Amino acid sequence: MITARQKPINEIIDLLPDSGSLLVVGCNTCVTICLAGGEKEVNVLCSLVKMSDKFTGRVRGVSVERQCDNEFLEELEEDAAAHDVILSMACGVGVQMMSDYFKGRIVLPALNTLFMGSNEEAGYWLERCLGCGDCILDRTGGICPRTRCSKGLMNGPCGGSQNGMCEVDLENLDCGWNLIYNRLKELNMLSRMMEIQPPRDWSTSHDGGPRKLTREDVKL
Amino acid sequence: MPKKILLIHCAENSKRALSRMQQLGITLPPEIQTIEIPCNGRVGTEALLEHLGNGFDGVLVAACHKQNCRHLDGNLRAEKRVAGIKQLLTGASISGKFVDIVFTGPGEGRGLQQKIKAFINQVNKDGI
Repeated sequence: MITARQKPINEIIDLLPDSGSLLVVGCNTCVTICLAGGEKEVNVLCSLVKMSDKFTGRVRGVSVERQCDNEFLEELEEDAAAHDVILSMACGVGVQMMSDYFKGRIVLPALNTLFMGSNEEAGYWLERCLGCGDCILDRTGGICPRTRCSKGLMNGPCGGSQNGMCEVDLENLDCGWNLIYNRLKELNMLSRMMEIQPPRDWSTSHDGGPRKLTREDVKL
Repeated sequence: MPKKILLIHCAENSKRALSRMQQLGITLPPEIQTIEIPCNGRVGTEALLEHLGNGFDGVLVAACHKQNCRHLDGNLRAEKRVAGIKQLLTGASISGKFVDIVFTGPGEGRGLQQKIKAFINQVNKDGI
């Protein structure tokens, strides 16, 4: 899922105009799971904005299933038309979709979008995928070296790995290549460690503008 | 006009401390409303802010002493949430709204009275 963190409350309040009407919109998918922009967070933010001395206008909070999908934005048309400013509590994709869909409205972001990751335990999320466009998990025992190795090395570990921890943070950060070694050992596939991986082809990653995915077979 | 204050207490030690207050003939000031919940672990940011937004000037959470929560750590969870709400109120520069947590044992009627009194004084003094 996409993880995000709410901007500091003072920054959010500063983004708002002094008066008018504000629609706070949550997203019930990824940012609900990472406790950043779901229905509860919408209610908390609405309460704070209503009580703040800076904003004196009208506030309403709603949530939609997914802000990254026009299909779910239709249901907001009436609410959006009745408010001057929309504060989106979705990831950056949701904010941009809202901005595109409601062209006459100012759409502001309430979150800082972070990474694609997993919920490891209560209150702890870990980045798992860079979205690089060229998956090599078959060669590394299902652990991504680009994401889990602090240096993104294709052939590791480097000399900075100590007792399974990365030299970048010896107390809290696992060495990605140590994890890969242990996993390949469990799978009796250690010979994979000896295969030299060629340099990364970054053309499939964030290169040459926004990436596009087209499927001719499903186009109408 | 007296400030409106909400006292949220659990059904364990803080409820017994309130009963002890009654036995001692101490009554809560009229500006205080109370809500009983099974455990303060249920105290949520959303609900507390809603109460503050809906007219209460202060919300005080009365919890069991640390390591004395019947449900193990409900009081500690409430303490974290109250600290978080204080940060939010400060961050948003919201004035005149107060939230705090106090810890009490079942027989501490007078002690709880003093803590409630101190909170009322704080709300009345700083919330003008």
